[in-house]
Amino acid sequence: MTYSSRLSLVGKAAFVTGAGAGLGRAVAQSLAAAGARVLCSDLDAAAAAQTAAAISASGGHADSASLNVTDCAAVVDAVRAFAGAAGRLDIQCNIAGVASSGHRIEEMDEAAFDAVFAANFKGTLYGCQAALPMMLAAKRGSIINMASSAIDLSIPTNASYSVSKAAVVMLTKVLANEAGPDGVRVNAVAPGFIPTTLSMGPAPVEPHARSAFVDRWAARAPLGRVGTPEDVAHQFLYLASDAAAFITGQVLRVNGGATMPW
Amino acid sequence: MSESPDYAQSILHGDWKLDGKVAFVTGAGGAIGQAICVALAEAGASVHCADLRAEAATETAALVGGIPVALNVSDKDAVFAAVARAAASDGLHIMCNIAGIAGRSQKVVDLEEQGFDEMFAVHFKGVLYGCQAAMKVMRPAGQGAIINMSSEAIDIAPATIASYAVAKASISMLTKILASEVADCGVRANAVAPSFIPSELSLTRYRDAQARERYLDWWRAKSPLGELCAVEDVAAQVLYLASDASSFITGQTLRANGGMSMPW
Repeated sequence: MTYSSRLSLVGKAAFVTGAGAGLGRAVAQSLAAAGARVLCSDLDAAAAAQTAAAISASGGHADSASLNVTDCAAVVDAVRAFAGAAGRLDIQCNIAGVASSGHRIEEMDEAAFDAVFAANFKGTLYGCQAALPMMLAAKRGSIINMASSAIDLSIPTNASYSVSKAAVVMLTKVLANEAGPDGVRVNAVAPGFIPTTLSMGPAPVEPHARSAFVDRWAARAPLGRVGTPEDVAHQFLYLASDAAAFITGQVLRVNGGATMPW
Repeated sequence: MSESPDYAQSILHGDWKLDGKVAFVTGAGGAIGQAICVALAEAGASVHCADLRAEAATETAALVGGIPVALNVSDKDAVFAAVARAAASDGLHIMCNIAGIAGRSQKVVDLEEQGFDEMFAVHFKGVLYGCQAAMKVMRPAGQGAIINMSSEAIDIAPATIASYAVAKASISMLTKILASEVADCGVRANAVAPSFIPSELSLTRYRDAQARERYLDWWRAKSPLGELCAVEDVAAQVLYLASDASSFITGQTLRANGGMSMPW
């Protein structure tokens, strides 16, 4: 088998959450470009539809759905419906998430923490739980969860986000052990700073200060730049494909060298 | 389903392709090194296949349409000369330091210093020379991808193979520091850490077929996926790290280990 055929996703079906913008949109486009049939889901139904339309316009196969990942029943229904329509489910990308509540820990607002945890951790848990029955029955599947460099960096005022992403990583590793014997792989991607609507939330509005904000992040990475959604999408494609057939329980960093854990 | 295969192939051109790039692979005559040469050549790279055993280098080079190089990686001058020669006409874009030797059973308390030094010379010094020789070309060119061979041994600290595990750990640390030092000129440095891969070399201690199968089953049981690592699993990782698809990845050690270990 050639290496390009290992990377091909022709004939496979992928469910992507948070596909309406930023990293989720790039991942959906990348998986579709590699041949997968993709369901683009997002809390913002119009944004999800735009991603699907862009994929269809360039010759790929995509549909869209409105989805609130903190609603367990809705996630289960949406994933089941897509798997039913596609006749299979090979790839589940849990990307939907929200930014930090911005509190220091000593002033942590519990409701704000719970909201971040619900979206980032519970949303990912529900996505995994929704995909697992089909994948375990088929004895194959690749689940890819969105972590973050925040798991390595301990950024002040970022506790709600960082803790939720650390929880996603441990969920990923435990599930990799639980689902591995049935042929299901589970991995996480931990990107460095990628300018998106979500990550630029805390940035100043004034243009010079805004670009200085991005420059500071670029300077934290030895490669001297911030990441692009395509950098992240390539890693999802790799982990989704048979090129990564023996990779499970791993956290892959696409961060320009900003952190280099063992 | 209605996806178009032509469209699907498009992503595998562009960032994942290596057309026009020159790669140098040490240990190219071994099972892993040969698979890496196949992957890089398939993606379009011109591959210099180096091995201590000239006939093994020639065999791999013939397989991938590459250039054979007889090379002892623990000979610094020879490594510098061979890499400079390979880069002379079209530069050097990818350096894979794969050459290594099998671990041997010895407890730390019994560690024999000469044996350790030999292990360290091939693994750490061999990789160091490869990195230094490649940087002679890559720094002025302002680009390059270096990929070093680490091992699952760095995560599981297996009893009785300290010299091998320590040598491999030194390669992962070298890779991280190199990544920090060379990022300013656009060079990326990463490592791959596969789990046990069956080969004639790695199974030399198990001549009896039953003992061999028991040993392989023991390794299979360590992975949640219940399988052994294949050379293609490692080669696909090296292809990713060599290509522009990983242009924002540096200083990382990628595990192809079936989940045997899951470091943070």
